[in-house]
Amino acid sequence: MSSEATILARLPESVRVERLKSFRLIPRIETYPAVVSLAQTVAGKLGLLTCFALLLWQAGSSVGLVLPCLAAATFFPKKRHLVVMLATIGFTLAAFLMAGPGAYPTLVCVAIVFVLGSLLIWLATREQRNFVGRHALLVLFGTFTGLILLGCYLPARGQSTASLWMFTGVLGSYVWFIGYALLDNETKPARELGLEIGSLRPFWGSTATPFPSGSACLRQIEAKDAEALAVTQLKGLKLLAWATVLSLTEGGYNWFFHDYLRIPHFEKALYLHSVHTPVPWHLCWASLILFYFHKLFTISIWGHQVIACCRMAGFAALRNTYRPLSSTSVAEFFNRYYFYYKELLVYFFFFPTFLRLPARLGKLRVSVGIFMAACVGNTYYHFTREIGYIEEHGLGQSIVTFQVFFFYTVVLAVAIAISRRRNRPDESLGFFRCTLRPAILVSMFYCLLSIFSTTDRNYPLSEHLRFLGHLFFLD
Amino acid sequence: MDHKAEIHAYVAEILEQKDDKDPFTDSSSLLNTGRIDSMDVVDIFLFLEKKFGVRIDSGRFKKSQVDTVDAIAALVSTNLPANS
Repeated sequence: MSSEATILARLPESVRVERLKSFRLIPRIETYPAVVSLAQTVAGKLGLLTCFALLLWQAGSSVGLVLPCLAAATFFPKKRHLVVMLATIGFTLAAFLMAGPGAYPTLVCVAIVFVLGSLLIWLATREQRNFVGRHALLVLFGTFTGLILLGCYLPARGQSTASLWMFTGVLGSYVWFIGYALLDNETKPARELGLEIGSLRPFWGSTATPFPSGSACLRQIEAKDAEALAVTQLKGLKLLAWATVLSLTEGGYNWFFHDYLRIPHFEKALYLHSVHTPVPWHLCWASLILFYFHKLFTISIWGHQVIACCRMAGFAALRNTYRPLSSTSVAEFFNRYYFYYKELLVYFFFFPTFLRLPARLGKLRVSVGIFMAACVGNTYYHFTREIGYIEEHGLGQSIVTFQVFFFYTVVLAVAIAISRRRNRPDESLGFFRCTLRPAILVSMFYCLLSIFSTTDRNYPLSEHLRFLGHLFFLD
Repeated sequence: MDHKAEIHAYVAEILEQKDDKDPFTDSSSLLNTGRIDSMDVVDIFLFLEKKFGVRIDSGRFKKSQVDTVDAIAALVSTNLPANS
């Protein structure tokens, strides 16, 4: 045993636990005054950008596009909003120009969405007397939903219908971004156009879910001085380094379990089970558990890379995924797993429901709000995201084949509502009963639920339920 | 105890439940720094309703209104029932 290990073994248990808790694989460099000072110098900034670029390159990101934007935001922090706006517009244009002339009609749709979105934001901030201004969010989502219905029920299937679907698809990819801009500006006029436009699918990346939650959030979390910028960027670098560690770990994990041990991927296990090819129950369990961890790895790595770029641009955004395995309740896991998506559901579905219900309903309002967010909102978000499928198969078929995901949202909503009503375990019960056991149970719940958390539409709900039954010898 | 002190004490209670022992002032950012999350905001709203009889207007609610104790106290002041 080394001398350090001997000293550690002699320490009281509480001290050892504290030391273990504070252990960091990647040191907290943003707390070292010398490093923070260095990161404020030209040499330090260049060093930071170089390290960041190397990690980005290792991750396979387009360094050539991202790095100039990050460098501009680093060396001209007072022009940050302008940089973000130009980078966002530049990235959007570059994506379409690289795709070739076939993508130009989509680019026209993007331009129309930008113009109409800006008009709606302007109406919401300046024209509170007219209906559109007062109910801008309702108008936005009403129009979006109306366009989908129109596309489904238009009798003619010609060029005009194809254009309508194209526009609806583009609007769908921006709708939550414009929604946040409306939420943020309902009471105050838009002050900084650069940040407003820059927050519409910003250059650091996102899905249909804004990362972070809109321009108002960006305004509040941006680094206000040189020291804050240095700390934020060091945190960004650390996060990207952590994403790299996770990425390498995932590579080894995939090789060991799927290539070396030949445990089938979950999709394959589900397929084999659906065609009545016997798959031993223990292999089904193994593929499901690996699938669950694979999802954790994927969302963590991707989210960390996006937030790391956002931090490098000078915005102290919170991590998208933060220690989900330490969650001791279903609600806590949902919060820690995909933070910005949960925020979207909360601000667009939970609060509007919760705040409108009468106070006499007490805590029932919370349960109803959770159902509206985790079930109705979750379903709406995912259903309307797949415009191509709806266009091809029609509304009826799209709804029927969405049964698996809908089942998932119902179970999730009920579980979160129950979890919110339960008290946290008493700390006096000890580490195992207070922390470890609840964390394992929560992970088991989400692991089993991941059988249904798919929008693939490959199998009916009965097949997924049959797979679940097989895990417990119920087939 | 005035509004702000009661709100501060309640927020401290929430943070303690989360094992967050770092000090905070009335102007410390809580929501944007991740020390409280949107579901904690729900608990704060329920507390404000019960303690001060405040109802938050759903059309006017913004995240910045619950980011600090100062902001929450301002929210309470503007939404207090007329007879209080």
